[in-house]
This record gives sequence, C-alpha cells and structure tokens, in this order.
Amino acid sequence: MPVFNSPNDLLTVSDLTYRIREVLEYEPELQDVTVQGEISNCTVHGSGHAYFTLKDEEAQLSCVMFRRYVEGSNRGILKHGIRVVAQGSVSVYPQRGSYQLMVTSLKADGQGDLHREFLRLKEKLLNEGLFDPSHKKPLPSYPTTIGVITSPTGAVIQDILRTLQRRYPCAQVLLAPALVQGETGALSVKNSLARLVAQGHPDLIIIARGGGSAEDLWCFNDEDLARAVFACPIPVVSAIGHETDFTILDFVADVRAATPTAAAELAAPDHQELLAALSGTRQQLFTHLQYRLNHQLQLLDDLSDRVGWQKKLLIERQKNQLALLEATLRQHDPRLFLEKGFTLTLKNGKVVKSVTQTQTGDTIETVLADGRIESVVK
Amino acid sequence: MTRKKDAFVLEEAIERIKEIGQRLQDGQVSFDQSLQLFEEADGLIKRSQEYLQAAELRLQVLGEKEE
Repeated sequence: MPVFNSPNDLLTVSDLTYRIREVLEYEPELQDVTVQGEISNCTVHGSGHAYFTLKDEEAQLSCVMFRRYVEGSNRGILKHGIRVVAQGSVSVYPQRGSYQLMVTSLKADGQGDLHREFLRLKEKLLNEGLFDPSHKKPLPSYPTTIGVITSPTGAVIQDILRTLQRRYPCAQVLLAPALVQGETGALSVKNSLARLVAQGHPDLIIIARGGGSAEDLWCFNDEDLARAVFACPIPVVSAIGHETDFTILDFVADVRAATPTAAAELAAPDHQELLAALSGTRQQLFTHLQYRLNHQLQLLDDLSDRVGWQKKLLIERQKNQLALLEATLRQHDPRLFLEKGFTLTLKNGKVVKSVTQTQTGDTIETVLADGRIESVVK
Repeated sequence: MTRKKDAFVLEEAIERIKEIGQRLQDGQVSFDQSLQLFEEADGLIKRSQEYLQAAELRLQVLGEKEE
C-alpha cells in the first residue's frame, strides 16, 4: 500500500503515525514475538510499570512492561545488564513517535545472568561482613515461642508443625504469614519479620519455603531482606527450597537448615530425651544426697565414739528432763484423782457440778477409777 | 504479647538445676544446705517434667492488622 498517493495528498503527523501503527500492530509476525537481549536503563515507575531497553551489539528496542506483568514476574532480573528473553508484541506509541515491545513475560536468558547477579550480591554482602560467623547468634536451647515465616497454606507449615508437635509440643508457634515467591515476596517476608520482632517476641524465627525453581526462590536473594535479617535481634533459621538450594538468606541467617523439617528439628530439642535426662539428673542428685546422708551419719557415729562420755551425759540430762515433763503431765491427769477415791458425776454425759442440776427421778452416772455406776436421784 | 513475670521458663529451670548439681558436687555446701538445694532441684525437675509433657502445640497466627 503506497503511503503517498500523490504529491498533493498531504498527511498530518498523526495520520502517518497511525498508518505506521496499523502496519506494525496488524502484522502477525510482530505480535507475540520472543526477543533475546540485554536489559539496560531499567526504571520501575510509581505506577508499577517498568520501562527498559533491550539491546544487543547492533540495535536496541524500547520496552514497556505493565504492572500486572511486572508483579507476576521475577523482579530480580529487571536490572541493568541482565540478559533476558522477553515475550510480547510490538506497538507504536504515537505521542513519542516510537515503537516499543509491550512485554508480557520476562525470563532470565538461561541461568547464567541470574547466577551472576546472585554472585555479585553475595560478594558485596560478604565484603560488608554480613555473613561473618562472629555475627551469628546462637539458637536458644529451650525455646518457649517459635516464630515461623512462611506461606500459611501448603506443605511447609504442616511439616514444621508436625515436627514440633512430635519433638517439642510444649512450645508455642507464632505464624507470621508471608508470600514466599514473586516480586513482592521479599518485601512480604521482610514485613512479617518486623511484625514478629515487634509483636511476638519469639525466641527464634524460622523463615521457610518449599522447593522450586531458581526463579521461584529468587525473592530470598533480596538485598533489603538480607539486611533486615542481619539486623534482626532474634536468631533466624533459614530453610529455603531443597538441600542443594542456596540463597543469600541462607548465608545471612544465623543457622541454615537443609529443609523446613530440619529447621524445626534444629529449633527445638526432643522432649522425650529431655524428660529422660531430667529423670537421670534427679536420680543423680538423689544418689548424691543419700551419699551425703550416709556420710553425715558416719560422721556422727565417729563423733559420739570420740566424745562418748559427753554423749552419755547429754542423754542422762535428756532422760531427766523427760521424767520431769511426764510428772508434770500426770499431775493434770484426771485419772489421778479418781485413783485417790474422788468421783465424777455425769447427767446425760455432762459433768454435774451442782445439786441444782439434778431433779428427783433423774438418772445420773458416777465415774470411778475402775468403772461406772448408774443411779436414780430420790 | 509479653511474657508473664511468673511464667515458667524451662531454660531458666534447667540452668538452675545444673547449677545446683554443680554446687552439690563441689561439696562446699553444708548438709542442711544440700538438703534444701535437693528439694529446690526436685521441685524444678517436677515442674519441667510437667511442662515438657504438654500434649498439644499452641499455634497463633499473627494477623496483619494486629498492631
């Protein structure tokens, strides 16, 4: 289709631009394309849209990625110098007179660049001393409260709860739910960490996520999250992915566990072992006390042998005191009076102290030393 | 959420039990004292055993709005 019909057929800039747009946007080969290149000049605006240029040695291509696609992708690779494979369609932006690729999906070109970015951050934080063993906090031996940051649904939290229930059911678990993948994952984990520290005061914190691709786990290679964990006053155990997966979080955490189950095992002792140890300790203490008691008795025996006469004197004196005490007690014993011939008169079981307490015909009881007499008053 | 002052803390109990064991072993305490220490340790061991025999893990989910 010729653009110029005749020299007199003038077009406005808009006319031409919209014609170009039609050509490009209706060309099937330019829609749904997959392009390989290196990211440069990447900015993410407040709106959430990302703007960057894809380039190779000879050309460059303006790209825009709208917020909903940015959120669904791995933010870690939206960085200058990262080689990516972008998928999208070509469109024209008339206001700027430019064409651009509207990117709907972005992947690292192989794992090479992701890995380079990982190494760069690791190197940087290592040099700053964030992984230094001298900063590692020891885990408490007997935690009362265990903080857990992970997805509230899924196998990971269940594995952790099951393990703690088996090993240490006396603990309290504080779950701070977090997104553990995608662009907002790192921020979500960071916020949950802050909430746990501020509100829960757990004795330690487990940050866990199940297995996934390197891109799934990428949010744990976040610099801000690494710094927050480093600054966290409470010991942090990391358990991200499988045993062979390493993230920046694993390096900065106080302890790295191979799996979420392993993290729970590191976090708490086995209560059965502890109960057995406590029984053993009690037995030891008791045995020790028995030993001390026997020793003490032996000491006393030795002592009394050496100062036998003093002991005898002491016993004599104690015997005399006892005899005296007995005599005093006996003086107050009513049976003593009965033995001398005095009697006690009872009416209906109560002591009669005056003749006015009885009337003719009453039955009274007289208590003597060796028995009782019942009689009727005349 | 703050920990109650009089709440039982296993770590503290076990530290004290160990300390008592050490003191008894040192043999520097009198017989009367060792009796007292044994009674204290025995009490702590019983409380620790009760604590460890809790049946059910307590789970609390920290809400986003909880400030």
